[in-house]
Amino acid sequence: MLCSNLLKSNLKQLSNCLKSYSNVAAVEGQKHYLKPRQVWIENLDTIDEKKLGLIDLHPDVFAANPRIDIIHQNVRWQSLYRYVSFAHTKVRSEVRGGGRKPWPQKGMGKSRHSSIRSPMWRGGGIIHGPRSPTSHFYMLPFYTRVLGLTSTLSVKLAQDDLHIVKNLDIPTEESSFMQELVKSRNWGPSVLFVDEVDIMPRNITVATDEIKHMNLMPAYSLNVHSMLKYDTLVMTEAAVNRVISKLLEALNRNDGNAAMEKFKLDQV
Amino acid sequence: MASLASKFRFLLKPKVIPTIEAISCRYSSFRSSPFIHDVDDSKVKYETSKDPVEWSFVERILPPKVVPNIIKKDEYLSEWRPQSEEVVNQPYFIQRNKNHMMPVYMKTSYRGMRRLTYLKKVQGDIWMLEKDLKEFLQKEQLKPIQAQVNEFVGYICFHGDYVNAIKYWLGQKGF
Repeated sequence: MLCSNLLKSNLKQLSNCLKSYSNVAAVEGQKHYLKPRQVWIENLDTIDEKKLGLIDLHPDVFAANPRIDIIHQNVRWQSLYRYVSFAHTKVRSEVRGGGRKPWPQKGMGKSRHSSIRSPMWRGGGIIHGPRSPTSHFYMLPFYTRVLGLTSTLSVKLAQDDLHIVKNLDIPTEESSFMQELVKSRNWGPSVLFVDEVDIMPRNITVATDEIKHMNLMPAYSLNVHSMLKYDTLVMTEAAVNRVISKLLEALNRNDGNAAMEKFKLDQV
Repeated sequence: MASLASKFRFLLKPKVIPTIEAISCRYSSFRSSPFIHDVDDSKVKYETSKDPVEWSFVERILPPKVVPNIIKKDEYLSEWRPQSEEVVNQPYFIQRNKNHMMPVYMKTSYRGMRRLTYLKKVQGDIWMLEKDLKEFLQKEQLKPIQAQVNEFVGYICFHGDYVNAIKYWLGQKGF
């Protein structure tokens, strides 16, 4: 039941993707100063690399300015929006004791005090201390998020850390195959594989299951933090096309002002 | 709250002056508008169609999700012109924004006393563009033109209001 539902949602995604292609086709017709980035399509079913073809990547997505400031804003946002600080201090009313006056107001020759838990005292309450839980949630503006993705993809491509493969089909379920492949192609220890949909081929799923620094990700969850976390980003051709169409749609959307409106907590 | 409202309902009712019939009354209180009710209760008859030909007519009136591409014409009724196709061969390039307009904007601050003109989306040799633009703008000005170039982000910021001048220059060059 669940599987069929997933399949249905994937088919829906696929049809949406094709639909968005037709939407973005209009954008493709524009003249560009920057040339499209040409990248080899490689294979994944043998350890030795074979070049299967070339793909043209849209300059708006893969030749954007390497805005490290925007990338930093995205990474910071991604770590902060889900962070809840549980640091907690007690105020004078919450510290145990301190109910009675330690000594009379007058006649002792000492300064006047009403409680031994006043913030003046050692072991007393803390004023303006951290109170738990403190949410650090905030929303980054829509176009800062879009620019973060295009910048990071461009940076990854410029640094030769982005590879495009035909698909994620590998012949065995052995994890040694993936390790050897990554080693022979100099992809660095950690690799992120991105496919278009979230149901991956079985072999690569089993092979990378035990390897903690190789992970699989669907195109819809591609994000700045993960792209920077892994040494190499390996995307399938379908995933690249989907990412390009989605980002171009975001960059050229008709209701840009609606996207830039203040984030509402109850929005869908 | 509801009971309170019902108690003072007679006060909230719109008053109609019966003697002068020519004066129209709008009843523009929220109470005068009908309540939302379920579609099934509606008396209006409708039928559900799954005909793709009929759906194409619906799609035609839906707003496009992305800004549509320009349609090239021999002459345009407004002052707007599309970007010339030869400009891609120049050492610098100014990309039109998504609405196919020139990315020249003015920012005012200090109660409108400071005017900054921004030329955005510059690609290629931004320093040569600044030199050329300064040369053009200086002809009409007594004071020296001050500009800040941000090569990393790709914009030039001019001190002063030169929006129309820059747009004119860009139009002349075909950008």
